[in-house]
Parts: sequence; C-alpha cells; structure tokens
Amino acid sequence: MRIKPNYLADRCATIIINAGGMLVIATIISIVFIITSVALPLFYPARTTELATTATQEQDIIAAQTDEYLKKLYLMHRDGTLTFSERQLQTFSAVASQRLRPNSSARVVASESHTPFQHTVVWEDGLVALVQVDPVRRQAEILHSQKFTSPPAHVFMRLHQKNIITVSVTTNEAKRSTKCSSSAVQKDQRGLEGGAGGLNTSEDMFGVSIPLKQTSPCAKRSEAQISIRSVASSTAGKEEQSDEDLDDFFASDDSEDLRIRYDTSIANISAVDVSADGLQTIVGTTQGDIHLLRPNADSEQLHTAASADAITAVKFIYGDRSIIVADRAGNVSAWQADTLTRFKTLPNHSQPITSFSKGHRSKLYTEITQHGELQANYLTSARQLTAVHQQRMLKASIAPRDDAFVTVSPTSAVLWKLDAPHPEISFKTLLQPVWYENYPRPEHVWQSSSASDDFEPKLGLLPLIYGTVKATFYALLLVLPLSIFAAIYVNQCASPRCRAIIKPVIEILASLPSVVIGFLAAMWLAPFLQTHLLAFLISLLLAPLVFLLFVFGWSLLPQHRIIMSVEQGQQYLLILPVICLSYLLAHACAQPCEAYLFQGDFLAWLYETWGIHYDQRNSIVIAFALGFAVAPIIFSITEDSLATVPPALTSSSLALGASKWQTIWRVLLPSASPGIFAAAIIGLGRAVGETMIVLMATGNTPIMDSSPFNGMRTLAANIAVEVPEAPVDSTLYRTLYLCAALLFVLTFCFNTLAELVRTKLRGRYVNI
Amino acid sequence: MSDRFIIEHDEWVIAVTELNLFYHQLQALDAISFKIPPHQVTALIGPSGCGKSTFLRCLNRMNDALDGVSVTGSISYRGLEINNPLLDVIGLRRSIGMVFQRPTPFPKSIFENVAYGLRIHGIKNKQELQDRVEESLRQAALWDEVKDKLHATALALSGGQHQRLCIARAIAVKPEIVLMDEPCSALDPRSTKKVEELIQKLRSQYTIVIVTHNMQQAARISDCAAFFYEGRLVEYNFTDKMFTNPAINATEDYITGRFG
Repeated sequence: MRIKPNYLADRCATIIINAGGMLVIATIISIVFIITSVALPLFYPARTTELATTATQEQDIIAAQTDEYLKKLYLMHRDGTLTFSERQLQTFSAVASQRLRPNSSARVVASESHTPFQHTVVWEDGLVALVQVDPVRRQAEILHSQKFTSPPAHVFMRLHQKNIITVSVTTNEAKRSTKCSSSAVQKDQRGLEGGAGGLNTSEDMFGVSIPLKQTSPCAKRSEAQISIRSVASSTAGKEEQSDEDLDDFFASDDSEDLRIRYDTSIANISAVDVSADGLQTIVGTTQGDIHLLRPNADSEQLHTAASADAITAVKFIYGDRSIIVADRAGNVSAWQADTLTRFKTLPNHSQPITSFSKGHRSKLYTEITQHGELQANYLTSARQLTAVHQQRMLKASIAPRDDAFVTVSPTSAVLWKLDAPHPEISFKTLLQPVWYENYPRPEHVWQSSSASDDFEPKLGLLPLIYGTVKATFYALLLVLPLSIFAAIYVNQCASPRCRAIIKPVIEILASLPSVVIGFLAAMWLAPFLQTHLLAFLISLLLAPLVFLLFVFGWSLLPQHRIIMSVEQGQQYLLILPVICLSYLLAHACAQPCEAYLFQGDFLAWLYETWGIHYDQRNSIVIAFALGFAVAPIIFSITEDSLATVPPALTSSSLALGASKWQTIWRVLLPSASPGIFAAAIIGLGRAVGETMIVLMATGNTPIMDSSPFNGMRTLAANIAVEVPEAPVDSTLYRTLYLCAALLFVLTFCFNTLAELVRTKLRGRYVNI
Repeated sequence: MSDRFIIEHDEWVIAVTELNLFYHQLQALDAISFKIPPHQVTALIGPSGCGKSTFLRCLNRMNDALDGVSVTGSISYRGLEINNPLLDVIGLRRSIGMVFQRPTPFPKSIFENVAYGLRIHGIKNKQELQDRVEESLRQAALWDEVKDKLHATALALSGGQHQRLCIARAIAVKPEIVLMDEPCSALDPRSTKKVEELIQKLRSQYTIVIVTHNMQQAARISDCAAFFYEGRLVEYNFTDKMFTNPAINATEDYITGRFG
C-alpha cells in the first residue's frame, strides 16, 4: 500500500507546523514576561531588615553613623568620646575609641549632622565644634570650633566652599507684650564690627526683629536670637590643638574674616534647620509659623503660617530646595525653599514628630515620633517606605548611600538595611501630576536627568503617552482620509493600467527605511516648512477651493468624447496640475500676505498675537513623515478589502441606477468596512510603535501641548533617547522597560481590537 | 441569411440593429439584429461564451464598466439610442433593471435592500418607501416570508429568498424591462421553481429578458427565444416553435443536447 508514506508526511507536517506556531507564541509570551519582569520591581514595596545592633550596653549615645559599606559604625557619647566598631555578623563590636577633647571633662549636650561624617557638637561649657569623623581610619578631627559663653539652644556649623558658617540660636526670657509689637528694622553698622562669639546678651543684638504675633500678648514668651556668621576656613581649620588652645584661638579671633554677619530675633522658636551650604535657615515656632532666613540675598526673610499647631521639626531635604515641616498634631508637609510655599502633604502621624533626618543622595528622609517609631519616606512620591520601632529611640541617621539607617537610643544603636531601590516611583508619580521641587504647580513632567547631582528625576509617563497619541493623531488625521480615498480611486475609478502601476509603487514605498523618511523630514521638510509655513497654510485653504472651482468649471463643459474618456480613469492627469497650480498660487500669495498682513514675519506675528511658539520640528512635519510611513499600509489593506467586495454587488447597485459615488458610499464602503477599519487600526499600531521617524523629526521635547506647531516625545522615541543614559537596574532603566511594556500593551490592544472588530463586522457584512 | 432565422415583431420595446461588440481585438458579438416584444419573456440561450450575457449587459450599458469594450451598431429603446455615449445612463438603468446570476443582497436590512433603488432616486417620504417596499416584496412573492423581519439583515435569508429579494429590489424602482442573467443557476430546484413562478407572474407588468442555460427552463417560461452561437444570433423564434420545430439545424443540435 502507498498510503503509509503520505500519512507519515502528513503527521510530520502537522507536528512541524504546530511546533512553529507554538514557538512563535512562546517567544511572544517570553518577551512580555521579560519586559514586565524588569519593569515590575518599580512597584515592589520597600523592605527593612535589621542588620546589626551594638553588642554591649552603651552609655548615653548621642549620635551614630555607619560607613558606606555598612561594615563600620561609630557612636558619639555624651562624655565626648567616639567609639568605633566593626560589624561581625549581627553585632557591632567596639575596636577603638577617641576622646574629642582629651583635656576637658565637659559633657556633650547636642550633636547635629547634615553630611554623613560631619557633626556639629555642642559641649556644656559652650564650645561648639565642627567634627569630621573618618570611620575607616577610626579618627576624628575638629575642623572648626567656636566658644559661646553658654551652649546655644541650636547651633549649626556648615563647611561650604572653604567658609565655615555658624548659625546659632540663643534664647532668653522675653519681656512682656510691650515689646511684642515692635518691628523696627534697625541695622547697625556697628554690628559688623562687633566682637565674635555668642550673642547671649541683648545689648549685643543687632539686626531685624520680626513682628511678633499678638495672639496672646500677655503670655510669657521666649525670644530667640539667631545669629549667622561665616569665616574662611583657612584661618579656622586644621587646628588640632587642645581645647584650651582652641579657646585661645577663638578668643583672639578678630572679625576681619567674617564674610556674613546677620542677626535676627524670632519669638518662640521650636525647631531650626540649616541648609547644607549654610546660607538658608528655616525656623519653626510654637505658633505654627515658619521663617526662612537668607543672610546673603539682602538679608531676605520669608515667613508664613504653616500650621495651626506648634512646629515640632523642620528639615532641609537633600538639594536644599524643599523643607519638610512637622507640627504637633503629626502633620507633615513639604515647602518650597525659594518661595516658602507649601507643595506637598506627606504621610502623617497621630503623634508629634520629634526629629527628621535626611538622605545624602536622594530625597529620602526619616522621621521619629515621640513613641520611638521611625518612618522612612520619600519626598517626590510622598511614599511611606517603611516603619521600624526601637525602645527609647532618640534620633536616626541615614547611611551615606541612602541604603540603610542607624537608629539610636541612649543605650544602643541599630543598623537597618533599607531595601527600596525605586522609592521615587509610584503609580501616582507615573500617571498623575506631581508637584516637583521648584515648580509652581503640580505637573506632568518627564525629565530623567540633569547636570546637577541633587536633581529630582521626574518620571511622569503622561507627556510621553500624550506625545505618542498626538503624533499618531496628527499623522492619521492627514493620512487616513488620503489613503482611503486613494484606495477607492485606484479600486473604482482608475483605469486598470494606472492601477497596475500605482498599487505596487505605493506598496514599495512601505519598504522605504524609516530612517530615510525621518532624515528627510528632519533635514529637508522641517526647515522647508519653517520658511514656507504661510504658503503651506494658504495652500491648505486654496487647494480645495481651486479644486472645487475646477470641478465646477469642468462640469460646465459640454459633453464630448475627449472629456468622457478623461472621466474614464484619467482624472489624475487633470488633478495633479490643479493641485500643483494651487500650491504655486499660494506660494505667490504668501510673500505679499506676509508683508501686508503679518508685518513681514508670520512666525513672529504668530508668537506676538497668539502666543503660539513655532518649533521647527513640529506636529505638521511629523504628520507628513509618519503619515508617509503609515500611508502605504493603510492604502494597501484598504485597496485589498475593496477588491474583495464582489463586483456583482457594485454592479447590482449600478444596475439599479445608482451613480458611481452612490455605489461607493452606500454599497462598497459598508461592505469593505471591516477591512478598512482593520487598515486604520493597523496603521495606528504602526504609527504608535514607529521610532526612527519620531526620534529624528519630533524634537523630542516631552511637553503636553496640543498645538500642531509644537513637537512631542513619544514612548518609542523616549526609549531610544534614554537607553544610553540608563544604568542597568536603575529606576530610569526599569521605567524605560515600563514604557516598552506600555507600548507593547498599546499595539497589542490595537491589533486585537482590529481583529475583533474585523471578525465582528465580517459576520455582519459577510459576502455570499 | 440562410444560416439564420429571425422573426420580426410588430410591437417592440427594444430593437437591436447590427450590433457588434469587441473586447479589445476579439469580436464578442457579431451583427446582432432583432426586436424584443413588450410584456413577454424573451429567453437568450446558447452555449457558454456565445455572447448572450454580453448582449444582455449591452441593453443597460453595464459593459461600460469593463475595460476595452467597444460597441458599434444601434440599440433602440422606444426610439432612444442606448449606445449614444452622451446618454443619461442612470435614467436608462432606472427603466431597464437587472438581476444577476448570483444573488447580490447588499449588507443591509431587507427593507433597506429593497428601498435602496428608491432612495438613490430621491424618494424620502417614509410612507411611500414603506408602500413601495411592501408592494415590491409582494410582487416578488417574498412578503409573507419576510414581513416580520424587514429590519433584520438580508444576508440571513436563504439563497432562493436572496434572489427573489434582488428581483424585488430591481422592480421596486418600477422599470419597464427586467434583464435577468441566469437568475436560477445558483439556486436549488425548489427555489428555481419559485423564481420561475415569479417570472411568469411578472410578465404582465414587465418585459423580461432572461439568459439561461437550462433548456427546460427556457421552454417553460419564455415566449420567444433567441439562440446565440459564437457571437451570432442564429435563430430567434417563438419558444414553442423553436423547441418543437427549430428552423436551423444548429439550434436543434443544441436544444437536443448534441453539443454545448
């Protein structure tokens, strides 16, 4: 029997074909899987694990910090010693210690830090020093010190561009309400020549006094003097003498090195912080006001009511552009440093917050409540990342790389590992307007990088989605009617010879590399359109007008054989010159029009009168370029679907006495509508996914502006633009994968929709 | 003229004189001359490719849409020259309707299918449309079957119903002549019977010219028959005469099934 080999071949073919199909499906699924698995960690919740604690019961810890690799820890004690320890498994064991002031038994009353290893340390005898600790070499040095007659309530020392800026707040009991309303600005030149040192007496006080609130005029209030001064560190630094020497040094300090001297007094200070450069001071009061002091710029002072309750903590966030403020009710808000306006409401608490600490390379911050609970939050996304608890927690410090934090109680310190690789991302920041630092209002912004380190990445996807939709919209607006009408013309009106030429030629256009189209659009069309914009716009009006006039004139011609033969599929011979003519006419009109109507420069007129800014690479250019890429597909599929309409159907319509136009409109198009719809959606999918053209010709500005004279950035172009800037596993990298996933979902949806509608319509308009 | 036999009618609606038709170089019709009587069924018979369908399409200028067709000679419709290139083709087709070989319902509802011709001729009055549609469907013997689902899609009907729907659609615009191009060739015998009955019924109001391959059908329904062979009109005779006593041998050979 000869049946068996055939049977075998059939089986083999079935297996091979099935395997091929399965392979395709498997490939697509694995692509989707890979893309989403890279993008998904963006939305993982943060995790905290306790890495290590101090081994032994410690005495009176006041500060602690770890090194960059979370291997070493140093503790600062109230007796003025630093203990260095190394991590072994889950404990820190002490390996060395150093006394900051070997010859003094004064105790430390306060310590403040803004960069990982620099502390402003205050001793009970009034000495304030800026201490630089090196946890690796296990030593500390005093960069600068200053002697006050008694320890100030708050003091901050900042080393900035070789200047040491000291901000001190000293309090004294205020007089009665009579002084409360005084608000004179009394600047005294003497102030600048006055002696260095603390401002503990009111006679020494100069500067601006803030008008005090009159809410409770008779209440006893405390008033604080804030004094800001700066010295060059060349005269201040390097001294590693005994503290007697230091005291001597500062006693002999003359004021020639004072670069800034600024004094003011504010009532009822409850919280103070100083920016990293020392040039901005934020002060919170018990009345709920916040004051921003800037000694440099004309001694500028801003103040506003931040809360109805007392302010319990204030902090500059990394970058010094925003300030977080907490009140006694537990509300936390973020304020812009330049204008002192509130721009964010942050996760709040039911208990008052006692202190903040900030990250050193991101907008991370931690806050500690009265009950020893710590929360790590992120400013940009206003996300609560994690919360931990420790007995009698005093303060926390964030590790140098923002990947861990140390919490401190008087007797122990705990190192927590913070695993939050993408704290700045949430669904809200991706898709909703976000109020970024230094922005006047919440906005959708995409700006992934900038020159400065303390930049806040703005990863709003909406400008990109908007750009994609805009590019697609303008392209399809131009191309969809054009290619569908072209397909109808070729299918119904053109002579067969002409059809045999036009269709393959247009289909060959589809294989034109998009980089060529993009290059032409960016290098030739965009500059051309810019110089001939008015002519182009006039021709938009003029071409249909001239065309209609021509057709009207044509219909008046007497019926004649030649005329009839032109109407049999040679119409384009007439229409082409008419369209060319109308463009030339528009071109001729443009010059005088521009001169008389638009003061000689249309673009300038557009900007001055309507405020419309014209970008060279704009939506019109994209409509042409992208349209050029998409048109052949739409044309080809539409023509194919028109060709599948049985000729008998159109013949029946014609035989009933319908005109050609009626037949096309009422019979041909409805019958071919599934195919035409599919063509449009497939064109849409192609336009959405198109990369090279939009990359080259859109200008890639991620703005949300519907004006056709502006550019845009699309999802696809964004991936191409940003990929070189995205380190593997960074937030940007994963966000780009998210863009890719979004693009995949978009095109997948479009194609599925096209297929569904096509099958559905095909069911309705099935041809027998 | 020994090889042709053509009867003359005194009363006629269409008179064809020396009609030649060329597809590019190929001559498809060769000097066709005869007259079609009113209110009768005229059958065009002949083997495939003999030009009978082409001839039929000449009568309402459906050949215009084809490329490379040129026509000489004259077709007179009540004194109007159909081959005049300046003729109002749309008006002509309104008077001379056509039903095709395969049923071609539009992808619309039954009602809209029948109303299609009326709408494109500018009838907008709802009541009038309703009446004319009902009248046409009744004439096409389809009313009882579809009166409950007038607004359902026409595509759901059966093949025979489709063809009757197409006839209803053709007669809705009240043509004088209905051309039928093998209207039953795609139908099963039952549907064929219904369409044949319908043709018989329509004869009183319309002049019908029908192309058919089916000799029995031609014998059953037509009054006159024209036998085409290789582009020429060989015999034009009363049907009963042609089928009982053909004047030309070739006709007899074809009818009795010796060739074709």
